[in-house]
Amino acid sequence: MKIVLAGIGVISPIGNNRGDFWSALSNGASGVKSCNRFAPVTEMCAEVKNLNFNKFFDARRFRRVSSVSKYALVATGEAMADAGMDVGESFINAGAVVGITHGALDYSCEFHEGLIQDGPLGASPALFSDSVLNTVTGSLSLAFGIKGPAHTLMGGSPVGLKALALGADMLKAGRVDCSVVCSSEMLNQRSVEAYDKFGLVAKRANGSQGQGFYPDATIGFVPAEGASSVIMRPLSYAQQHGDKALAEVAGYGFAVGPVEQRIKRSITGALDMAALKAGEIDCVFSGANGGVNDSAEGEALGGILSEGTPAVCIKKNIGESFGAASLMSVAAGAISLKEQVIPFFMDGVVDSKVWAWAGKPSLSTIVDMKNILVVSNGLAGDAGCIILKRL
Amino acid sequence: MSRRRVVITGFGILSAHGRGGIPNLEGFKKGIDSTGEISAFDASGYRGRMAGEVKDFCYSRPLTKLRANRLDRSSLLLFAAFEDALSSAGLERPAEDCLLSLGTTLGGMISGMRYHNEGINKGFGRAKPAHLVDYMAHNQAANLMTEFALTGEAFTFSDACASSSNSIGFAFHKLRSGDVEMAVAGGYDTMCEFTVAGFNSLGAISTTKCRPFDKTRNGLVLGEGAAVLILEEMNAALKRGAKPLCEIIGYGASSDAFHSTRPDPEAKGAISAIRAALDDAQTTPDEIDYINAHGTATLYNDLMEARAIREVFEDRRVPVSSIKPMVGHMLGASGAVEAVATVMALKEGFIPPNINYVEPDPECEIHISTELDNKAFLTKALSNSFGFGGVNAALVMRRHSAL
Repeated sequence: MKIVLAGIGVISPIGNNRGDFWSALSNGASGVKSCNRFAPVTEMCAEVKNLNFNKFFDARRFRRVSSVSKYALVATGEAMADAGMDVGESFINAGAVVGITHGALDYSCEFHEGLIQDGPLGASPALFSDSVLNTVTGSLSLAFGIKGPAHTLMGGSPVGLKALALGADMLKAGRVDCSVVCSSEMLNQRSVEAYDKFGLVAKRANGSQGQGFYPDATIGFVPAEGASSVIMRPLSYAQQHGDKALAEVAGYGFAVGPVEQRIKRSITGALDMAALKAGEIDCVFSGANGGVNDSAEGEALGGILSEGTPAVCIKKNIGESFGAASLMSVAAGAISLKEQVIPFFMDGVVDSKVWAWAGKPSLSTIVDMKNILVVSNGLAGDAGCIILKRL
Repeated sequence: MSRRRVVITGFGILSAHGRGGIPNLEGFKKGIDSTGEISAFDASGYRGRMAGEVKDFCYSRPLTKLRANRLDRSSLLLFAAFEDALSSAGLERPAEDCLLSLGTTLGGMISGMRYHNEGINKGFGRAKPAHLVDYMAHNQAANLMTEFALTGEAFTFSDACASSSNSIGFAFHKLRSGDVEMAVAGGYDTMCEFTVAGFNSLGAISTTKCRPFDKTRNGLVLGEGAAVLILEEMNAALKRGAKPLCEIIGYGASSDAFHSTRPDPEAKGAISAIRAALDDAQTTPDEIDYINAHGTATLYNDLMEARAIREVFEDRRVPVSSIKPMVGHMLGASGAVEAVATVMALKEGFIPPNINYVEPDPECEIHISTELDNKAFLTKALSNSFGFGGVNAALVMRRHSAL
C-alpha cells in the first residue's frame, strides 16, 4: 500500500502557512533573529510571530490552552484545508499521532511554582490538566473529532519522524483511513536555560569566534518553536476522493547508538523499505542544527550518499524546534518534490570527510528529483529518517 | 493466510506487592491490599494520603555506562523490570534490533521536581543540571538503550493512563506484521508529589480506599511501578526453547473526542476500542472469560467502563475486576502491570479479586469478581485502559495452547 502526504500545515518562524513557509525557504529568509527574551543565556531565537489564534478557533475551550497546543491546532487545520478536507465526519476513522519533545512547559513550570511556593493549595487543576504530555493530542482529537487511535510519542528531534512512521503503520494495517500527524514545540525560559547548562545553545559571537552555521554565532543550536502537521492517506483513497497528494512516504528507519552509526543504520533501514539504493537519493534534508553532532552527521551522510548530493539544512532558517523542526523538514521535502525545486542549500556540502559550511549558499535551483531523504538526529542518542518519493 | 502469532515469553514487574513474579502472584491471587500511607514525600496536606509504593526498592546492579546518582527513580524501576523480564524469558540479552516500546506519563518527574525546587528556592542559575539528565519522558528509554547496549528502534508513548497498553499494542502489531522478531514492551511511573497534587486539585483522590465500581467509591489511590514484557514471534520463540507464558491476540485503540479529562459518559470510545480489540483478535464477546478493568474508582470512569462492558458483552456476566485497589493506579505503568496480572490469571488459572467492593452500585451493573484465592480456568481475557484526553486501549490475551 502506498502512503501519501495529502496536506501540509506549518506554523514556523518563517511563516504561518505552507505558502509563506515555502516562499521564505526558497528565498533563503531566516527566522533566526536577535531577541532579548532569553538573555543573558542567548540573544538569538526563532519565534512564531503574528499568529492570531482566535481567528482560527472560536471555541472557548481552546482559548486557554498552551501555545504548544495552539500551534498544533492551527497547523492541523491548515493541513486539512490543504488536503481539501472538511472537518467532522471525515475524521471518524482517522487516527492522530503527535510527536512531542517538551510539551506544555509553561504550564508545567507554573504548576510546579504554585505547588512549591504554596503547597497543595497552590496546585492549579487547570494547569495540571493542560500540562499532561498528551494534552496536544487530546486537543486535536477534540477540535477535529478524531475518534480513531490517538497517540503521543515522546522523543528528541526524531520524534516528528517517528510520529509520521506510526501514522503510516496505522494506515498500512488498515486501522485507520487517514492519519493526522503533528509535532509541536514552544519556546520556554526554563528549557533554554537547561540546555545552556550543558553548553548546547548558540550565542552571539564576533566574526573570529563564529563557526559558520549561523553567522557570528558559536557552536550550538538556536532555540525555536512552531508546529507542523501532515495529513496522510493511502494513495488509492486519495485518488478516489480527489485528495491532493504531494509525495509518497516510501520508507522510514530509526536507530540508536553513536551518531554516525545510528544515522547510517536509520538510512539503510529506510532505503531497504523504499527499495532504493543510496545513489538514488536526489537531495537530503539534513537535521544539522549548528551543534556538536553536525560533523558526525556530515560523516554519516558523506559515507552513504553519492558525492555531491545536495543538502538542505532548514534549521538555518527556522532554528531548532526538535520534533516540530524534523516534521517541518518533511513538509519542506514534500513541497520540494512537488515543485521540483531545491530551496536554499549549501553548495556541494556533502563530501566524504567534512561537513563543510564554507561556500556560497545557492538559492533555489530547479532540478529533476525523484527521491528525497529527510534525516533527524537526536541528543538522546537516536536518529531517524524518512524517504519521500515523487508521485 | 495465517497470521503470525505473538507470545509473551517473560516479564518483569515491580509494584506495591513487591518486585518479581512471586510476591505479585501471591498478592493478585489472595487480594492483598499493599497500599499504605505515602512515604515518598510529606502528604499531610492532601485529602488522600494512601498510595501503592514500591517499598524498599534498591537497584543494586553496578552500572557500567551511566551514573546511578544522576538517574531518576523511573529509570531504575525500568532497569529492574527489564532485567527481570530478560531473566524470566531465559535471555541474556534481547535479539539484535529488538524493538523497545515503552509507556509513561511522567518520565523522570521526581528529578524534574528537584530541579524546580532548587530553582525556585535558590534561583535557576544555581539549580543543578544533574537533575535534568533524566527528566524528560524519553530519557529513560535512552538510558536503558545505553546501559544495556540495545541497538533497535525505541518508541516512548505518553498516552496518559493508556500509555503502556498502547506501547504493548504497538509492539504486538509490529511483531505480527513481521517488522520485528522480538520486542521489549512495557511501562513505568513513579510516586511523585506533582501527580498527587494534580489529581488532588481535581478532587479525584480518594479520602479512604480505592473501591472500583462500589457505590461508595470516592476516587483513586495512586501508585508507582514498572512492568516489562518480552514479546516474540511464536515460532521463533519455540525454536530457541522459550516457554510462552501467554499469547497476545488482539489490540484496539480509540479516542473519545469528548473532554480533556472526563470520559465520554456514553462510553462510545471505550466500546469502539474494546470491539476493535476483539475484532483484531478474531474473537467474539462470548469467548472472553475475564475482564481486567481499568477500574480507577472515580465516579465517571467506573460508570463509563461499566456501560461499555454492558454494551459489548450484553447479558453475559463476564467476571470483571480491577487490581488498582491492591497496588494503586500506576498511571503510565498501569497498563503493563495489569497486562502481567492478566498473564498470571490466564496461566495460573485464577481471577484477581476486586477488593474493597462492599456495596454494589446499581449504575455499574456488571459482574464484579471478589472471591479471594479462587480457581478459574480462563482461555481468553480482555484488559482495558482509559486515560486523560479520552484515550482508550484494550488488549486481548489468550492462554497459550501449549500450556
